[in-house]
Amino acid sequence: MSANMAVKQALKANPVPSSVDPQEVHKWLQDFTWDFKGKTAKYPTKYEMDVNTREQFKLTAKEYARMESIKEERQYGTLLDGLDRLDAGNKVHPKWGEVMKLVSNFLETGEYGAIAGSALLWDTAQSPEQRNGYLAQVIDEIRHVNQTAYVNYYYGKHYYDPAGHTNMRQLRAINPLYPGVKRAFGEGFLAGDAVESSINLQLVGEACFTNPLIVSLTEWAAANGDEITPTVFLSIETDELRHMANGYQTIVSIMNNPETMKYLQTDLDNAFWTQHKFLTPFVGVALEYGSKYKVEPWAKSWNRWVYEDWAGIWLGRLQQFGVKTPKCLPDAKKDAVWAHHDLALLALALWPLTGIRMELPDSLAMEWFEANYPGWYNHYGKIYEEWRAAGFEDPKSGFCGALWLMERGHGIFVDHASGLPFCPSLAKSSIKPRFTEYNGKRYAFAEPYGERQWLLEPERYEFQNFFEQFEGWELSDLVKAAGGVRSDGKTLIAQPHLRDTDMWTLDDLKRINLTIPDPMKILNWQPVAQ
Amino acid sequence: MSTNIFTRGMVDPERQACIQEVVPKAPLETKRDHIPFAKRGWRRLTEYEAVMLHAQNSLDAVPGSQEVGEVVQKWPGGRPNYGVESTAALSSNWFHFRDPSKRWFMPYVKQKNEEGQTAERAMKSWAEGGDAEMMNAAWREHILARHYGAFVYNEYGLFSAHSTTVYGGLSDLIKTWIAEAAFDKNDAGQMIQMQRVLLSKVFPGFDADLAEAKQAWTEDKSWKPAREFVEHIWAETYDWVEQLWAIHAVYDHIFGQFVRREFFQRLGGIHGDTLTPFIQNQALTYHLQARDGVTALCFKFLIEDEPVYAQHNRRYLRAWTGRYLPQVGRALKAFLAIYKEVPVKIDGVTCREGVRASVERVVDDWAARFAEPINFKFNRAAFIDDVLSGY
Repeated sequence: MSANMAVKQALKANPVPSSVDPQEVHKWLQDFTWDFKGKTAKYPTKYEMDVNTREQFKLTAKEYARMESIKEERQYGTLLDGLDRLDAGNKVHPKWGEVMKLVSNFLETGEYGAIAGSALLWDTAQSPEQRNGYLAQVIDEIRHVNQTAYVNYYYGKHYYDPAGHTNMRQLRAINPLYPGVKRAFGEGFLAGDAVESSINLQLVGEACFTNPLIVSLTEWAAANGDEITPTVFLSIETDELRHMANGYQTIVSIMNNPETMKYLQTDLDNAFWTQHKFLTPFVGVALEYGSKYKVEPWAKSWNRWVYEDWAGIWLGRLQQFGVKTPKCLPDAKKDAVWAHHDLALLALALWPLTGIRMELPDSLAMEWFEANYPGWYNHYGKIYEEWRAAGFEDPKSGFCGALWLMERGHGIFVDHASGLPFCPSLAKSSIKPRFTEYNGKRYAFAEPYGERQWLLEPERYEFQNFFEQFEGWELSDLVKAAGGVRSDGKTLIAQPHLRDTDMWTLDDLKRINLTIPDPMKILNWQPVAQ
Repeated sequence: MSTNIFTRGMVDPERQACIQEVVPKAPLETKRDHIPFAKRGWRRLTEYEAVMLHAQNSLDAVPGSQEVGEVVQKWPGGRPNYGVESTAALSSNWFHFRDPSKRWFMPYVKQKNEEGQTAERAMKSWAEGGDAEMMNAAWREHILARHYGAFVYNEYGLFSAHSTTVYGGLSDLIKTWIAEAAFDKNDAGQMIQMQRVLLSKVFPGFDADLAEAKQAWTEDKSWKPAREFVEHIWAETYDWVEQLWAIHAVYDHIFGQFVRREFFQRLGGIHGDTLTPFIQNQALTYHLQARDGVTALCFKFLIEDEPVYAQHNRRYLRAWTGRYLPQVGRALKAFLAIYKEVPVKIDGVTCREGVRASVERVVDDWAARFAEPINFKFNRAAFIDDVLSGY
């Protein structure tokens, strides 16, 4: 590789007529197009994208392949040679090995959505250089789907509990957290105006959240014995800078038109809310509840990467265009402290539907949580202690956290804008619950930012949530139907502890006697105050 | 780093000992089959399938999808993404498509990188080894400067037409194949320009500027029908299967094959041009991969392996062929006028009978490969005679 680089540098310093530098080709790209009648995007945008916009990373197809193939060789060489011989799959702490079943698959959904989102931009943009950059991103996103999938595939072959790694693409269909992924990643990246998709994908998803997601995650992974994830995810991150540049150039391409600001700030506000609403709590849960060995509290990482780096420095570059920080940023900052604890409570309450093995925080974890999030113990810790005493882990107990919550009037609702569950009466994050009725149907919202999006375009968010989809299903039947049972035909893939004894079976789940309800029908629904 | 002292759990003896205490003595699950619910395209699950198949989070409205219900966010107005109405073709399970090349990202870029390195070496050898001096000057100054440059626009336009086919493709492995075919088209256009830049370095009188080439593409009668096809398929055709069929199975397998192979590759040889055939050989390889992909999509997947909608799909393929074949014939007929501008004339190659043989090679291969499997009837003799009237 270094020899290759030396040759490149030598050629650059002493060009000879027998070679052509990729830049010498790239500089002609803007001349590759022509005008003709009917030349419009099939997916037009409400913005006006300037045909003269350039891309920052000026790669030709062959140069792209040269760069990427080197990265692929390094990555798969490390996985299939180095890490295989070190038996890396069996050196991972089970808490982390389990949460990676979700993390890798959920990120795969984002990467997959980004394929279509980038293709949308490739169609809509008129500048050949921009189209070239967006095409490279389409191919990059295929790479990232392959890579995130390979993490599950690798774990499935080498880790001591492959169940869940092998079939999360099926199990996620009943995971109450998954609609949140779909809203932010699966559809937020691709279902709408191309520039709006770019803002979701490149300006917020990638420029704002890939640093805290990928950089923090790899650090936590390594601390917990996982060298598989850093090998792959850090290689993914090397592409993200180009994607962030694509996002920046998207904004540059639309700023010549003074009408742009009519839409841009609203689209940015909505995109930040959409991405934050899922990523902030989910990543926090993965890091802090999916680990034995703790690193930096998520709230601090979030503050540094999202609040200071992105909202301060990155958006600062766009101030010249009149762009301001998103309106919900102060509330998001509060969410970075508490939203992941709220979501962890619900994930633990609904563990049979997650497809992974998870456990309640032990005494060491509780100390860490209380030290870093003062007030955590009184709010969450006591509940977990009560659950443990009631037989949370015991397959013969018939205990289920979701029932415990409902019996005490703590309804679990689905926020109709983000698709994520929330518990109004126990949440410590910045929620302001709203319940409303539209066309004879009741809707729950965690706070007004999402409700406003829905009120403006209700037809865009018209969907059945988890409870509506599966209302009336007996819990064990649902888990079985989704492939949530191991090869013995009875033991669950998901478990409420990490031991290899006392594992829950379908019969134990049936003992809970839980039929999925629709909380909007049975709990204390309140109309919106006028 | 967020902490001053960072411990890696895998290599720290104390931490690893603690981890091993909670690792079960035996695996909790003996079955390690990946995506066990998915149909295998071959005897065993391939890496190509493992890293992509069923990554798409679509609902059962797209047959074969793993989810139920509705998408959480739709387009303004309420239209969902992954809509089966994006094509008239129907499938009982969109996830049964397989690219016969089994190309996922890693082998794809590895292959393209090797092609790039080979091209670099070939160009260096051509420029320094004496081959360049053999090139006929008129061929270079007129045909390569004007018409070979015009072909950049053909490749760029077809590349552009793929954007919405990637978006519309209804499963993960379909999207992968389309995106790779699109990337190849972008590459093919760039490689022509790379060659033109090299020509401008080796021959001071050769200008790499594309103005003349663009003029040929947009104004010359010889390119007009081809340009009209590309513009139509890029901006006015909305059905993504129709686009793919029209591009790869009709236009590129007749017009594209003729221009690349029968004209530039073959005639380059008689003009002392050993570089153009080499560069076009890569583009021909890309077409063959696209040809195999579109064959797998439209014949194997939508007809042979399709238990319900095969006849429906066959009817659409016939209709689309009927829609685009006349325009492709016009494109080829107009292109043949370029033979008048060819500097070196050789009997059996550039004469009428030589060109007829070239046209017949292309048309007969197309008929056997794409017309006969769907019982598409066309008058071969009349089609060829009409094309040759442009000579």
